[in-house]
Amino acid sequence: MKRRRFLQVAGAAGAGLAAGCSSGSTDRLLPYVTPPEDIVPGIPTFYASTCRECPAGCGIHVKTREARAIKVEGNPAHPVSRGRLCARGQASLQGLYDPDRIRGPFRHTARGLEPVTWDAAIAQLAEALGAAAASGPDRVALVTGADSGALDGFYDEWLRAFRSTRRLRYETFAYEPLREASRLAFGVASVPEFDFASARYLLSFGADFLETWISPVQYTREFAEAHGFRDGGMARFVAVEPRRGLTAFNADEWIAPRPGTEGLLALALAASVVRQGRAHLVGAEADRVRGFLGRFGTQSVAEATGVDEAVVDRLAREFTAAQPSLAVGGGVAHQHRAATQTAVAVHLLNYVAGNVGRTVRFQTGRALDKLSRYSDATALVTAMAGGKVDVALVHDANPAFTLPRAAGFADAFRKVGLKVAFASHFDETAALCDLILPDHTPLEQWGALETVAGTRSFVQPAMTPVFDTRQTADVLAAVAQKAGKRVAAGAASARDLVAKGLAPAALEQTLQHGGQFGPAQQRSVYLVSDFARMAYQPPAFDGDAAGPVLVVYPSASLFDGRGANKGWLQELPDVATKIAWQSWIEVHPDTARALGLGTGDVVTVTSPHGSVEAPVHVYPGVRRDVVAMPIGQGHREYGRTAKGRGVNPLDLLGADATDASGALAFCSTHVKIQKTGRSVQLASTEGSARQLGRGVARAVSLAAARQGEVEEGPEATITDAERTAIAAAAASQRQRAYIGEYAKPQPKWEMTVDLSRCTGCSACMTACYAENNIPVVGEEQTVRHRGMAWIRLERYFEGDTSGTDWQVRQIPMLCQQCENAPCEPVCPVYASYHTPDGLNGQVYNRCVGTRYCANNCPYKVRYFNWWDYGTVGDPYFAFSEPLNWQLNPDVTVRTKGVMEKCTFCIQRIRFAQNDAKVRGRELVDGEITPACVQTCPADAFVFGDAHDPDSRVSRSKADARGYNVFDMLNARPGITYLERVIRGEGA
Amino acid sequence: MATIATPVPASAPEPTYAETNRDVIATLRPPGRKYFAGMAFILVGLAFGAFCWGYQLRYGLGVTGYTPPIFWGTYITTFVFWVGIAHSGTLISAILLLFRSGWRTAVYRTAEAMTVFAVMTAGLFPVLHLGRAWYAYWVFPYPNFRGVWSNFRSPLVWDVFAISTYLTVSSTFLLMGLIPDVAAVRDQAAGWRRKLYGLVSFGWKGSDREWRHFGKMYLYLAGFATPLVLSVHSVVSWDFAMAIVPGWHATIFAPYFVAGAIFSGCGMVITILVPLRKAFHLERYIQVRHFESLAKVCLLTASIVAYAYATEFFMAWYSGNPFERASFYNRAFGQYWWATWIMLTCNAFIPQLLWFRKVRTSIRALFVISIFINIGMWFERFVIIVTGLSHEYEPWQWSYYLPRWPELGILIGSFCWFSMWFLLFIKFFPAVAIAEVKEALPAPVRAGGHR
Amino acid sequence: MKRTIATIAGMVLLGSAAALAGVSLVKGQAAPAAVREIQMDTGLGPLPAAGGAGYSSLTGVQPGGPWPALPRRLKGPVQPIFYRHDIHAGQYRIPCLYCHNNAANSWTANIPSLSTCMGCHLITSAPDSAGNPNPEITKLRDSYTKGESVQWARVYKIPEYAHFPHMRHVAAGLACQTCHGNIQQMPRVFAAVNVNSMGWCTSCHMQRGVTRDCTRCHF
Repeated sequence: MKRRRFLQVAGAAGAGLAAGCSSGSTDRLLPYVTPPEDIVPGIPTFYASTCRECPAGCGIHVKTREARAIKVEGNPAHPVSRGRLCARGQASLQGLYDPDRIRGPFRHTARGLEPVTWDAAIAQLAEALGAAAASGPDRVALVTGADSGALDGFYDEWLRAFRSTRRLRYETFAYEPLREASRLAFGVASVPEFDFASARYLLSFGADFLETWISPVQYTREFAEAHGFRDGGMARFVAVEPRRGLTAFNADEWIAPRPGTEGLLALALAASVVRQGRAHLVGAEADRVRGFLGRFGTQSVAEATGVDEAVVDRLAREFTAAQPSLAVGGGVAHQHRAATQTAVAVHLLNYVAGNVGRTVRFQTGRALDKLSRYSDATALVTAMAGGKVDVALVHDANPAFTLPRAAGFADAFRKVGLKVAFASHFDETAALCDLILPDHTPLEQWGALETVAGTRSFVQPAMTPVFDTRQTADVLAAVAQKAGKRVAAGAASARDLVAKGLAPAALEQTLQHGGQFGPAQQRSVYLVSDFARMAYQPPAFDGDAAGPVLVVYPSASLFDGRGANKGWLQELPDVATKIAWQSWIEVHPDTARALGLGTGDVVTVTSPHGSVEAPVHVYPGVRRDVVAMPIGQGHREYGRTAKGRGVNPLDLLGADATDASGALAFCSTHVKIQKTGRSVQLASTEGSARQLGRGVARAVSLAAARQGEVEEGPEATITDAERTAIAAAAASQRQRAYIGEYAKPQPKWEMTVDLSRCTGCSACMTACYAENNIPVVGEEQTVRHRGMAWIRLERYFEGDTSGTDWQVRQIPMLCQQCENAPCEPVCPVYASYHTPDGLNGQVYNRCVGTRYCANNCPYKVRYFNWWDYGTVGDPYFAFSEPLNWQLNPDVTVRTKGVMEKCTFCIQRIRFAQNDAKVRGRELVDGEITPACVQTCPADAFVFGDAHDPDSRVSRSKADARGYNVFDMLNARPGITYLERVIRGEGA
Repeated sequence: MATIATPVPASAPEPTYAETNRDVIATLRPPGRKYFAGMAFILVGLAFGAFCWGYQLRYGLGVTGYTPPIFWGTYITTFVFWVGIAHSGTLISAILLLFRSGWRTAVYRTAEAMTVFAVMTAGLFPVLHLGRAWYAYWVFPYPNFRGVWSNFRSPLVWDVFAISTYLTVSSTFLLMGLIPDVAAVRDQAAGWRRKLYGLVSFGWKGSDREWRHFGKMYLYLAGFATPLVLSVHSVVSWDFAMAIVPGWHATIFAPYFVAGAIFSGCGMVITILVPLRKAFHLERYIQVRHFESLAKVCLLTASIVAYAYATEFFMAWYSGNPFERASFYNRAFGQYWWATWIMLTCNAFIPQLLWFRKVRTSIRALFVISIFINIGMWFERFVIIVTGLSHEYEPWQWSYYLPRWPELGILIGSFCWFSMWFLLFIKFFPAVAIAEVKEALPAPVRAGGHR
Repeated sequence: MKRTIATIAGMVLLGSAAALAGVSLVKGQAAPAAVREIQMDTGLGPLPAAGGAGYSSLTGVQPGGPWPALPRRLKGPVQPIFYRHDIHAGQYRIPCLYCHNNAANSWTANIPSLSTCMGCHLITSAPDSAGNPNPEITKLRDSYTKGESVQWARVYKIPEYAHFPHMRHVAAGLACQTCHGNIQQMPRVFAAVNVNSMGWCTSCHMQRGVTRDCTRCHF
């Protein structure tokens, strides 16, 4: 099935229509001239590739129908993603079909922007390069993203051909402190491989490893493995950071030290470990370590960090008692001037706890290790400003946006003779360039990445390019040729580079597989002898110390802002604050009260380096002396969705605020907050942050869970008499209901959601958007609660949020497919009805739009088409060309005035059933996976036939933690939630 | 009930049959400038309402203020409001007829007309509020060979039948009652009008036989209509009571709504009669005692409604059901406190003034109070529908709704639509039942009559 | 009093009579269609399980000999190339699935690619008595050599909210003609059946007692 051939899509578009699929209506049918052998109209074809939305490099399968990519899913064979994918990966499709993509090569002239032919552009570039090379060494600069493998080597070679070494592998989040710390502590300047799965105790010093840190999908999967409740056991997770984000939501305990003191706390923990004689150290090393750590008495640390010494000792005890344990640090949000020391301290803590080599492993060669540092970027800026660069080429990076404005990239860049952008959008950097040579998006590209040691992950085009674009490497090769240089043995294209050294058959086979996934060879490391010279000094902060410290954190959905033009990601509520489409500043309730601020009040945030305006979001997840802002919004250029939306907190940062590793200190300044008097409505999906004992999202302590005890919901108020009465009524009702078609042996599709695995990452939401043609409604409609996401992540605060001792309950809420559904009897036209296989069917073309069903749905999972999102030409049309190419032909695009909802991806159910019937085979348990189930990195969902006693869902339903939301309504939901388990102190 | 009818006070000398004919039929004289001005104003309002609906049809229901999970708002509120208004008509003409209460004669024609037009107005809203109004006919069980049918378990389908039945019966009742009066008009009219009225009066001659049949048929229809008064609004109330929304799912809804309906209906009758009476100088026919009786009905039903409010709140607390409690707490002190307190003030507190005879007999006071009643009853439905939905089971999905201009436009349009029909009616048909008023008068004595 | 009741009763009777008439009227429309389609099935005789399904049933047309004469009036949209099903499917008895092969294994039947046509028409050009190749086939060959597709006019289009699994119906042994009419007798294809009327689908599903669950087709 998963064959790949480079497609000749002659009339493929037509073929889509010839197949009569619902991607559009026409009165003309265009058959193929010669049918490509791997396309059967109406049957999807999958191509294995690699996700390029962040440096993690997850393996993906691109689902194509009639030669168009319509869905991206994880590649089960891939070691990083193991078949799962995050929201950003799911949204890569919108990058492919973004209507704002540059549709051909352009040139900036005095007259403004004008189209140019590829040949002309290449000639111009070649000429300029030749001149630059002739005029001296290092006159050419090439900025790329986190590239690795064949192409990466090619770029260097190419650059050398023009006598230059000015290469910048630029990533906004390059983990310099972590790499530097590894060098300082172990002599290996590398990002270690963390094994969350086997850790029994997790300590995170501000690493948001469930959101953006290094490899979120992999870590989410492993974290769920470790922290999910299974056979009476689970790992304990303690988060140590001044701001509580999604990652810390999943922590069993949250400790909020003063910003900048995480490292000190880590050292104190290590010291305490040693003092308690729990250190896994021997001989001279032990003495040296003891000597070094002796300086960090709990007393002084307690004062500095604001964390009680008792707590420190307890954590140290727990951390070493559980074996193996794992401490991670070095998240971007808390990357301050002492970031490297923090990372060293965390390494040290792992070392004394004996985790290094077990849960912290060093491997040879990892793409991240080769990334340029922030200081390299600033060095390039200086060079450009000094007129040392004649030609600058930027590819797969947007430094004009992701470098702090104070770094003065734009001004320096303008001084360069010829500026070339290999960009997909007119983003901040491309807008400054003279030549814009649009690059393929990753789904149209060739590549072979070596993101993780041992793996060679291939990138291959899933379809012919949407626009007149060319892959950068191809262009560079052509330029070299034009300039008469021979690069990479005359390789003409990225494909050649990728295919090099592989026989056609082998290449074919590898591409089908998605890459070559060998074992990574380990590298044993020891503490360098002179680590003791490392002194700990608390980080400095700019600005007036009276004001709160500004924490700037990467957005889980927009990453460093590259996702800002994707409607799906803009509309995806922030995983922590649940705000979409906007920028905001998080302020602690007490601080807000002191300043007389309420949620929605617009404030001016001023630092010594600049000032921005943003609405306040009163949020208990930050310390009183901390405010936080997400990176990602505030684009001055870029596409229609991103442009002029929100603010960029990087404008508040000083350019020279770096740490020992030369990394930008994202957490480096105090800010002043002033009321503007204006106020806006935040586009938040949150109705109430408290569930008020309604038992929507439930949790139970580990001890109780071991006893099989569970948290009771409001149904506990029902007396036993009532309970039996209800049961009897339900039984008789069922007897009466199951007649005719309904009496035949039918499957009953059900789902379980394990809340002890679900991290709230919201990948399921975007997957649902992609699979079910859900329209993006925009900011104004989101403010009015009119978002259409069929599945949503509800986030409730539990406990007293004035301190740090409170819990977060998260629950994915989607149609519960009730057996006794309140929505069904009220529909006057049977648009909402019960299917024989136990779903709440929703027949869009029968719906007249009384909305009675939505009123009567206690779970509020029905969504109404207020506007005409599906009709071309309507002001609210949500799929403007070519976004409509992505529409799933198996799912009806809903028109205005009809109700829609989740039906467990019924198109997938029917597809599998038809396939099984035609092939005369039985359906296999697990064969059918709804989009949300398929993508869930935490594997929290189980879907299947509840009538089959051996199915996974039947077994997982039987779990003692299982409960139905609002059980007392007797709607008999088809979704069983398994209570979250919280492992408290000592447990 | 019968006690409501008070003995005729020895006021101004009784009009004679002739005078009655003259005065009442005077209302049918060619309208003056004022009338046309009013009509023009109304038509403008109606046009605006129509525009709003067109706008909504073009762009979708997004133009309204609906904020999920509040999927019903002004439209359903106004629908229930008009259905409620429609009730006093049948009450006064049918039930009071069966109770033989004399005071109805002067007012029942107006009330009946009001009923018919109110139902005609109410009937628009279920269609107006649909997402795909052009498929509204799908709710009717019509023969088709796609094998699809309408869902008889759905209260909305019950509505369809309840409303259409009520419209049929009440209009039949109205036209029935008109026959003798229209005949009287016919006798004074000339030209095409004579023909028209001749047609509508079915060539009525006023013979004993006709009167006998008329009486029987009228009585029969009255009996037929009476249960409807109770059933129709009960059915409408089940739109809510049958749902599981906290604040809707209550057993008292049927009686509670019926009482409310009659309350609002009588309120509206007063609101209409006062200006009508003044404009056409019908003081001698629509007398203060009539108003007083209406006021008494209002007082009674107002008290019932107030009691219902109390019961709702009490039961919410007494049930111990956390969702009910939250819903009603929110109703009184939540975001919608203002609506709730408007409702309570207008429906429960202000009508208590009617205990005082002075107030009951002061037309001006009654008029003002009746206005309050109308407002209050509209808000009652708003409170039930909107606050209920705004604060349901799922805390994550709580939100706040306010109507937007298209909704208000259509609301205004509906009042104009109603008034338009009413204005037309009073210019074409006698607004007071001539024949029945005459019944209440002493028979004329001819000179030299036999003793 | 009596009379009144009588009148009302009368009206009620009238009403219901009308309704009944309506029903029977609709039934009346449905019946012939159903019957036709039954005959077509039985006309096929016993069908081989997999392969046989989807073969054209051959009523009236003899193989070989002169081509069937064209009727005076041709129904259906004019096509860029005058392809005659009555010759290919009718006279030469080419199985439907030979060209529309996807119908057996996909939700959607395909329009055959030009290469499929050329499979035969590389060899035969159906020359006339004078030996000049048939102009229609020349058109085909030209566009094939040019590598251009042919823009056929669409005959059948199911609304996008209905999904029709061709392979299920082929596997069930239904003749293509059941829905597409007597293709093998059509010089130019026209919509013999209004596939957009759901009644067409349901009547057949009712007769065969197969599912009428809405979400089998609507999702």
